[in-house]
Amino acid sequence: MTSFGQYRDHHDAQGPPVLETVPAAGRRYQGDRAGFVIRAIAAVLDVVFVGIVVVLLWVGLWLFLLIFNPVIDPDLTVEVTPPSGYFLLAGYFLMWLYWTWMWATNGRSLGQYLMGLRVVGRQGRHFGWKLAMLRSGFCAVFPPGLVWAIISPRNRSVQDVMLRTSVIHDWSSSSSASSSASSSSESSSESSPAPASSPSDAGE
Amino acid sequence: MMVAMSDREVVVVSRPYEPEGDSLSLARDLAASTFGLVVYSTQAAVALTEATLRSVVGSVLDKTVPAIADVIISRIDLTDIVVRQVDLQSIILRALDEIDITQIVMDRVDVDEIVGKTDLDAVIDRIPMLQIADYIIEEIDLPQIIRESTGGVALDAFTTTRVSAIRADEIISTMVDAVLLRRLRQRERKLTVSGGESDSESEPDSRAETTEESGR
Repeated sequence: MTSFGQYRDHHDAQGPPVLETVPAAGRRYQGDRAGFVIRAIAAVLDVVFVGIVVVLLWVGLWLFLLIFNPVIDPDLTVEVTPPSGYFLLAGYFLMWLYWTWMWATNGRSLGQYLMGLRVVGRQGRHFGWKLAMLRSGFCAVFPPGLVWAIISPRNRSVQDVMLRTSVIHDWSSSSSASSSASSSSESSSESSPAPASSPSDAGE
Repeated sequence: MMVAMSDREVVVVSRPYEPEGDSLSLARDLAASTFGLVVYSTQAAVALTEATLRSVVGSVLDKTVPAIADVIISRIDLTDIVVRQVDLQSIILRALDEIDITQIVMDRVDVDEIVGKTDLDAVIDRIPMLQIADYIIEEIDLPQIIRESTGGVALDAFTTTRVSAIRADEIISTMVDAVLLRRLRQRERKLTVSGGESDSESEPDSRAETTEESGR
C-alpha cells in the first residue's frame, strides 16, 4: 500500500490529480488509433440502430395507412406503403443525419460509444458540423472505405485519409472531445493523466 | 574573700578580719587572692572585647558587603560569564532526562481547550484535501467499486467485447504488417500484446499524438 507521502511525492510532479475512471483493462489503449474490427462493430451497431428506426417507421406508416385508408386494400394484397427502395434511401438519409448529429455534438455515435471510440479531427480536436456532414455522408455512401483501415499503418479509413480525421480509443464517458485527455497514452503508468491524443496528419 | 560563682558574676562577701597564723601565711593568701582576681578580670575583659568586636564588625559587614557586591556585580556581565563558562546544554539535557515533559503536559495542559481555541480553518487550508481525497479514492479503487455496484455484468461485458475487438485488431494488423513486410505496426503490436513499457515518442505512427490545447 502506498503511503500518502509517497503518493504525494509521486503526484506533485504531475500536477493536480485526475481521477482515472477507465477500467484498468483498457487504460493502455486510450488514445490509440482504433483498428478495423472494433470500428466495424461500432458501424454495424449504428446501422442496426438506424435499421430498427427505419423498420419502425415502415411499420408505423403501414399501420397509419391501414387505419386511415383501409378501404383501398382490405385484403392487404396490394402494397400500401411506398416501395422498399424509398426506405433504403430513407435509411441512408437517416444514417447521414444520425452520424452528422452525433459526431458534431458528441464526437461519437451510439455504436462508437458502446465500443469506446471517438472520432476526432486534426490535432485530436472535436470537429464541427461541416466536417461531420462531409464525413458522415462519405461513410454512408462508401462504407467499404473502412476496409482501408486494415492496410493503413495508421488505421485510417479512406474517409479518414480524405478528411484528415481519426478514430481513437476513448472509454471515458464524457461527451467532450477533450475528455480524451483523460485517456492514458502511457501504459507504464496506469493512473497518470495523459494529454489528449490526436492523430498526426503527416506522411500517410 | 571573693568567690567566682558563675561567668561575669562577682560576689563580694565581707567578713570580719580574723588574723590567724603568721604573717607568711597572710602574705600567701593575699597573693593567691590577687592572682585569682587578675585571672578573672582578664577573662572578663577578653570576653567583653570579643563580643563588642563581633557585633561591631557584623554590623559593619552587613552594611558594606551588599553595597560592595552590588558594585562588583554591576561591573561584570554575569550572563556572558555563565554562557561562556557553564555547559548549559548538558544541564538542560540532564534536567530533561529527569522530568517527563509529556506527563507534565498531560497533567497540566488542557489540550481540549487549546484545540477548541485553534483556528481550524487555517489548518484545513494548509491540508491538501484534494490530494488526500484522490489518494483515498485511488487506494480503495473507488471507480472499481462504483463500476461493480452500478455497471455490473453489462459493463464487464462491454469491456470484454472492447478488449477482444482490440486484440483482434492487433492480430489483423500483425498479419497485414507481416504480409506487407512492414514494421510500423509490429512495434505497436509488440507494445500492447506483451504489455511492456511504452515509449510514446518511439511510437509516433501508431499512436495518436499529444496536443497542447486539449490538455487540462
